Amino acid sequence: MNRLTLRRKTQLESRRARRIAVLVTLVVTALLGSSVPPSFHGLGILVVLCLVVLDLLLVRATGGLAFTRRRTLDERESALRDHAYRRGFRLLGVALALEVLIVIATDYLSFALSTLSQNGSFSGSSELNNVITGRGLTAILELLVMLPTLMIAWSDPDHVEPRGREPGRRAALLWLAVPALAAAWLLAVSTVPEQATAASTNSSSFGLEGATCAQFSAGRVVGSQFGATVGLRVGVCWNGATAFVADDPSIPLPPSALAAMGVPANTPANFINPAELSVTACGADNLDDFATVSGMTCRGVTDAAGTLNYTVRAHVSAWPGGIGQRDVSMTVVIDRNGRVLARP
Amino acid sequence: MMIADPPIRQRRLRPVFTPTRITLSIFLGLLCLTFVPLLARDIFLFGYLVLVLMTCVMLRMTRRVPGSWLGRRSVRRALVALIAATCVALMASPSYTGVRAPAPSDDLALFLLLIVLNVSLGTATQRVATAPDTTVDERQEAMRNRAHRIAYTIFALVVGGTVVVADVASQQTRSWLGSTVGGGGLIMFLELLFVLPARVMAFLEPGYQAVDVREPDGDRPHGGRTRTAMALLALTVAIPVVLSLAVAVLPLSTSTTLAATTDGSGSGATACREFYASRNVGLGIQATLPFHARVCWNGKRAFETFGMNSTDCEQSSSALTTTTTTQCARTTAADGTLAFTYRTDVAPSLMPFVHREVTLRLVIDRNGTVEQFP
Repeated sequence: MNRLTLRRKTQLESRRARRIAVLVTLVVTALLGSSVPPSFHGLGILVVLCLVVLDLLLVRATGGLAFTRRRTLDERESALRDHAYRRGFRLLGVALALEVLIVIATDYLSFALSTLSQNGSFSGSSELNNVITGRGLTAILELLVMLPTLMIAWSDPDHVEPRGREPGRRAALLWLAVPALAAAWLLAVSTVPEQATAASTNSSSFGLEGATCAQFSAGRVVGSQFGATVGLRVGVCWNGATAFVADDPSIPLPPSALAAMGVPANTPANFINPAELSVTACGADNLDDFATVSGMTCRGVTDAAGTLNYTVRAHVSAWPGGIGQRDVSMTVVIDRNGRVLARP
Repeated sequence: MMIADPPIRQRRLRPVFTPTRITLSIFLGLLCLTFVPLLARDIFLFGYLVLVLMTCVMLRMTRRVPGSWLGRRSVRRALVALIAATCVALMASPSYTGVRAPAPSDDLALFLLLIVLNVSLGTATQRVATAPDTTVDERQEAMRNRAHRIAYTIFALVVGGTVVVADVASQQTRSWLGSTVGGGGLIMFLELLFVLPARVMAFLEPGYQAVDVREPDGDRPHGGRTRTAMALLALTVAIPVVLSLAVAVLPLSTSTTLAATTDGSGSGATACREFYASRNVGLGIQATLPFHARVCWNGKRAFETFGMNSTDCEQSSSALTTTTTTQCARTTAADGTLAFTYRTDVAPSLMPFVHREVTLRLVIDRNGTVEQFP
């Protein structure tokens, strides 16, 4: 009889239960690594905490074999652990390759869904360069840290636990990881300084008769990828007399632009300046997986000298109800000749 | 395949779908999807890729005896250090650090060196790290399992640590991560994923003893196969070198077309004419300078209507070469003769010290007589 069967019962004792836990862990990891759903609307931390609970259960079920120092293991345990690492290393490649495929496939799916859900105009993919989002980063870390444990939990028929270790006290300490992680996240969202997003790698090209136009996109990251990103996406045109926002019917075109286009004065605004979300969109580039973004406003004001001030404001909260709330603001200023006077 | 004991399990069929093969297939598929448009345009690059794949397959089929030199622990450790240095050099390449625009061909030399070093590493470790379970004995199994455990830790720290720090730290680090993921970073990632356990084995293990190993299917000689593989390897390395040198010595190929003279009264000229030219240097590793301009004349002077400005000197296309425009000048002489000179310096990416100057020149007098083209 295996010595481990003499120990007191722990969760996931049966191989079947462990395998189910492994599959659930992989599915949750794939969910985090994919673009479906496009946003967790601030509840991403709950998904991560669920994942951490699953991880802890599996670490307990395998006796933390993957993380145990060699000298405390007997020959069989050592061999089992090394073998799990080899399998884990090989499967890590498969997992990361599949992760890339999942990201590509779900990006297309999200794009298709956003296209179907819009009437005539859709915002397209993000103009911001998020590189690796917080949820993607979590999925990568989960695979890197947990794959050997998943291998041991999946393949070993017996409940394995290193010699001389009782699960009681140490296991209880392990559970502290859950509130510690939640506290670290709350601290990050509410105190870590805001950062700019990486330089954008794509932008939409557009034009307006009698004016020169360019698109501006920028973003502010709150909570170092584990909070939210507030995006700014605006199409600006200038004609020597004034700078103005294009493709947003809620901000009327100036008379000089209308005169250059040669349209009658009583033409409806959404006819001459229809909404084109791929050019100008308020909140289209927001990323709110781990924190909520609320009170989003996008205002364009042109002063007497023809200089445009376009300002985006939003509240970022760690939790609904304003817990750990921070205000984010971005302004882009362009004069009537297209000179950029300020940008985020 | 070299083994120490004749394993009983050897008669079992080897699995077709191993994790390594699946990973490799997915990454190769993604790379092919990315580069198919490029390959379709460049038959040389496509042919070279086929040659590289053939070489890899042949090398996989050759015997793996490290020999007295590669069998030494110090040599193997030096090899491991050299691979690591090459990977770091690829990561730190100016192409991916924002110093200059990324160009996939710029780091070809380092990439080729990495291939050669990896082939040597495979020979030095007898490719035990990736050998099927049925072909390794217990000692080798334990050895490679341990190597994988250490490699896993290194991989997690290097890849995980780099990604986390770069993605979280600042805008600059995120931008660096974004640019390196598509270039040197990707190569380093794949290198670590597929070769790191072998590197750990090469570093840790004592010298291999050739007397311990033998052929599983008898002592069938593999000399012919080895010679073919080595010839293909030499060809794979030599082709880029020879074609880089060819940039400097091969004659230039030029094609020109002069459109028929057209009435230029609309532009205040007597007549106008369009000039097309293309000058090509090199073969496979090459650069092409296109020229398309329209010139009009009125008996007093010749003048351009388009195609002779500074932006028209930035239209060269290159494959594994870098082009630098050294002269782009349009002048009108006192007698009304128009002259345009477009001069570019072409250097192969693999051997930037090899140079070739390519010049396109159009001289046309005030009556539309072409004095020089191209």
